[in-house]
Amino acid sequence: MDIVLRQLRKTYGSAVAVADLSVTIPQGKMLALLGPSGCGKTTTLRMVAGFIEPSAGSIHVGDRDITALPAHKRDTGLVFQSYALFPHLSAAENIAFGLRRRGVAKAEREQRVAAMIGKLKLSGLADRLPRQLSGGQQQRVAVARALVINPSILLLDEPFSNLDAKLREGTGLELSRLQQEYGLTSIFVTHDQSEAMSIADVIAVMKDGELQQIGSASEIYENPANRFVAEFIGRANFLPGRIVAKDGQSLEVALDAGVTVLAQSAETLQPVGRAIALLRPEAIVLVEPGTPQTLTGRVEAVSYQGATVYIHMCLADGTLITCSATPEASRRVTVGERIGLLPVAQRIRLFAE
Amino acid sequence: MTIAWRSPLGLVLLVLCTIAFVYVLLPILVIVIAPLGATGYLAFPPQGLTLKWYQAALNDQRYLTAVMVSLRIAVASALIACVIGIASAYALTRYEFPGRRLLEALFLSPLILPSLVLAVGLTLFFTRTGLLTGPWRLIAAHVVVCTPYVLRVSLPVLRRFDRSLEEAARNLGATPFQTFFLVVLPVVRPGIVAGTVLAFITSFDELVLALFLAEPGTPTLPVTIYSAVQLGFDPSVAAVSGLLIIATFAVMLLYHLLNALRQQRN
Amino acid sequence: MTQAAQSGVNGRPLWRSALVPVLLFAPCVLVYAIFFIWPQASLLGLSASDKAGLTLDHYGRFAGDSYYWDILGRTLGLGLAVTVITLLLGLPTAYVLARSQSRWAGFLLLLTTFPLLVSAVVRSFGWMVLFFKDGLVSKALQSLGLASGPVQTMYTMPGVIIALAQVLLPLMVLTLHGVFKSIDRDLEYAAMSLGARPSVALWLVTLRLARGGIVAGSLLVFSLAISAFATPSLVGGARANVMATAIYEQTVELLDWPFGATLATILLVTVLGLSLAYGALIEGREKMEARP
Repeated sequence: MDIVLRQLRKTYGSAVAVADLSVTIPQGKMLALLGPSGCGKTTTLRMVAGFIEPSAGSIHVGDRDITALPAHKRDTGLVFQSYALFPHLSAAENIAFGLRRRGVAKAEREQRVAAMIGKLKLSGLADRLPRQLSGGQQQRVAVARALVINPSILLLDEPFSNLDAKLREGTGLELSRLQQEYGLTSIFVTHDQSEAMSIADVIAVMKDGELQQIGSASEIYENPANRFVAEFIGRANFLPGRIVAKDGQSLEVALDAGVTVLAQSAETLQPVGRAIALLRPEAIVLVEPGTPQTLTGRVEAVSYQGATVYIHMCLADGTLITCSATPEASRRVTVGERIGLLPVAQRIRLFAE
Repeated sequence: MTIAWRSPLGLVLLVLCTIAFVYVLLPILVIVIAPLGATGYLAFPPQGLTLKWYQAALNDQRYLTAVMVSLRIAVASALIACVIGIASAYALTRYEFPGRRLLEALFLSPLILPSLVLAVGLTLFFTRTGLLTGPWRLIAAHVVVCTPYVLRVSLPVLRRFDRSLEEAARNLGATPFQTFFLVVLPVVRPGIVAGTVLAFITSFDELVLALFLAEPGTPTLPVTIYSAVQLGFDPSVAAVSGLLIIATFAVMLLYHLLNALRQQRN
Repeated sequence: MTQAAQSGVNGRPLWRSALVPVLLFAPCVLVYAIFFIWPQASLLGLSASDKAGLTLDHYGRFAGDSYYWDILGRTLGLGLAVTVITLLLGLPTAYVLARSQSRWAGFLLLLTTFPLLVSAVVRSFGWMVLFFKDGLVSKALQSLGLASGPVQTMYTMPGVIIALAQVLLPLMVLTLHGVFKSIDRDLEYAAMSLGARPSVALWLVTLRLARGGIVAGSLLVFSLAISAFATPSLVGGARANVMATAIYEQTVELLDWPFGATLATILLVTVLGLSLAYGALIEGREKMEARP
């Protein structure tokens, strides 16, 4: 079933928590609501779950308008950030809770709980109380509890924020596999861009209650709608400059750092005016110093990350810039050395200053 | 340890501490031990050793009746205070509205109200209105002084209660009513039990309201002991008091042992 | 949709969303209104009226008679003495119990506070046995050479003070124990690492931080001491008359309910004034702490 949010709005007095959000999530897809804290992503999720009443707008699941439905009639599976496992019930009883409320007969209930316990690798832990489980196990119980009721949609509220870094990736992939297996349309709230990019089909970036951009991970990374999105997703270098000419889709920019480059923009920018250029670390190629049409930087630090190496440099005017390189290429670089930087034209994006 | 107990400062602290222990426990020990004396009057330290005063106390119909009266009133007061206290405590922690803090202060205010003031006011009130009969006058009075204890213990427990548990229950299909009884109550149960026990003890030990409001002819245990003590040092009164102390101590020890056991099991 | 939101939640009228909290508060509010506020109001009314109507005659009678001023003075003196004793013994006890790492500390705290569960009547009775002319206190004083003959502590103010301080000491210990437990022990270590002797660290850091809790405990003990009835009545008798016993005497024995109500109101106002002062103090402290 698809989820449609129509002009969804939540205000507290004069403060706007969510401003007229309209999103459609097609059947079986996972949408990540991504943004810094206070951006309205959690408020949106809680409106869908029925814990917060929208000030205006509507929420539809399939052909049902659930806006006015109380939380316990919404049939949504929700995995809480804190997991919210009932501390007085065992793992199995936690999983069975929703089935009991739905009046599922004992035999079927036990069979479904057992199947879920097997599926989430909780065998042998069924009789433990939540506090006797590790964080990862608690998280799996919370997922099992949400899935066992065969919900019409799945909601995830920062489900990995309490797991350590190592567990996170594996759990994320596992969760996305389950979501696909059940064909569940999902909303996933997170402030961690890499989490959103790795498991969501669609990412909605929010700020101050407003939707900034919605699209696939690559769309958002490569063609950010504005400077906020560019800065929030991935590493970014910003170089100020002046637009000198416009040629169809391309704009010619004279960067203050000393070179003129071609750039694209999602915004409508007119020639002859200030602008700011986004250069992702991989949109800069290291060349010999002194090559024409390049910037010159002094290497400040080399940060080895395994597959990628980040080289932090300082331009002549003091601007700090980071570019990425393969480990092989980085071996030729030493701290303090001067290096030529060639911006890759097709990958430069321009924003109003 | 911050303070070296062997230093002069540490020694002063320890000496004061010891004095405090002896001071607090002495009169209680006196009441338990004095009736063991064989003399016909109370003496401490006791002379001789006999259990006859304790036996006499156990066989004295007056005290047995008084214990039953006190038990009945304490159970009724504690249960009513528990139900109305929990309902209010839950609402106080769940809803935000103007005057919430004022209402909370009102509910807790009998804690500092001199019980004699309440007793005089209630006696006037009952004689004028003719409201309630029999033990119910005293029970009503005890509900007023016991409810704050239930509130004081359960409010912090309810405030600490993780609200996402309630949301999880609702999300899984529990109605608000089911959520309260299936999730909230079981999780905050220790706080509720502690508050109700405190309310029970408060009612059971209470003297002043009982002096004014108990049914004529069926005084509570504290009133019976109070009257008997004023008449003279009958060792059997001390024996009744001693039994009360021993029973209280046993119950308290049991309560803490059970708690410790439960914590160990988890 | 916007209209629906304005007229309540999802079109539900406002009174329906307020229904649940109102129902939850109803029993408590009802009980308090009938058995607490109404009687207190009628007490106030009775103290300020006679058959003719409103009058301050009863208060005038109190103000004009030094006998009652003595009683009020004695009551406040009792409160002060009891507060000082419980502080003197309660501070070290609570501190030692809060800082001790012995496994017995919990049990000792339990033992200290256990008397709270025993009726004040019974505890006062214990003191009566000790205070009696042939009792342990008298004998001890004589054998120490502090008294030449039997000493009567019963029916004296010192007797009431000693007994009442014992009744209220566990409460002081309990309050202060919570306060000391909430003060980070590392602060004392920090003070000592900066060169403060333990006694100085205790004075400058721990007691300074505990000041609010100490005031709170003192006000609580003081309020309860001036309202206590069982102990003054049993240990003090008629010779150590305090407000509570005077109220009992006026109402139950002399059947002068209007004047009893007046005394009760005066006691109530004293206690209420103290707790309001305490409330203001707490609020002031919170404001201080809220300051950046």
